[in-house]
Amino acid sequence: MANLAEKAGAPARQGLPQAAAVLAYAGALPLIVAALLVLLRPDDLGPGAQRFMLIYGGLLIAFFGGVRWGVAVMRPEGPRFVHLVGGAIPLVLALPVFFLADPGARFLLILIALPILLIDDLRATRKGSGAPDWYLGVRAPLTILMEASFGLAFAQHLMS
Amino acid sequence: MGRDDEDMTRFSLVALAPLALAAIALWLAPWALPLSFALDMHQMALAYGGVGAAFLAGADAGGRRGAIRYLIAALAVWIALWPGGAFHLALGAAWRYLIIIGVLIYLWLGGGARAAWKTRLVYWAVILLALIMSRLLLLGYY
Repeated sequence: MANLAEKAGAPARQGLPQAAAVLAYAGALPLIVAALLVLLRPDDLGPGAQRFMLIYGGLLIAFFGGVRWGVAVMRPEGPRFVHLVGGAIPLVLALPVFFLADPGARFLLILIALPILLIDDLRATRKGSGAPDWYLGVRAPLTILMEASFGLAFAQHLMS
Repeated sequence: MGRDDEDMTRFSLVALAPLALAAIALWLAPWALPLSFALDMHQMALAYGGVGAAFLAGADAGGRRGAIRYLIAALAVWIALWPGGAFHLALGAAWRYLIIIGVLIYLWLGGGARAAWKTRLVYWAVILLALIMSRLLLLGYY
């Protein structure tokens, strides 16, 4: 853990990972509640909760892509084109989530994109060109929570 | 402006093309283009602007290693994109752009060292979004 804290930055910022973790999990809470609503109240509250999840998912993909872009821009040696393109790809991936007519396809896109972004971030961090370890320490379990929520809603959509 | 900054400026200005197309379509409708097409472009621009603002919030969060307020900025974008409103609050089409414009300006102001590329990106994005918003207001879509 000491190594993780060193990589995260100055000692003055040690409180940040915990605060970020709390906020990140709090951010996942509406998604979990919405997934439960889709599952338990599919007729009345389900459609609204589904729309909520899809918009939330699309914005999450864009946000995670932005984080990747931001990390690339802040590299001491300056951004490399390949990293900038890598950061912009999630932006392109997020757009169909808003434009596709079929909610099933939109759920599927989110379900595929989130783990791919996580794996890409893990690879970048391992190479030393990605986000700090603590960010991924929060992000990995968060992605599993989100995948479970989207997976439940997707399954309900397929069954309805 | 360094070479990196020039590349970044070019990269980000190209990314604004869909917003420019939507603004042109809205101002050409209903005379030169069907209004239905222009309104479809508005829907596209709203989603694109929202996704772009969430991306920029993420970029700031990544660049500053996890600043929490950028996550909140991304959540504000979600309100702008929520289609039917929530908690009995339904936003009109034009006002959704105002939220995105607000988030972009907030991100620009809170960005610490304001890179030239980001200043230009936010400047042109706000102008294009304001053009779309003003046209929607003129068309009666409050």
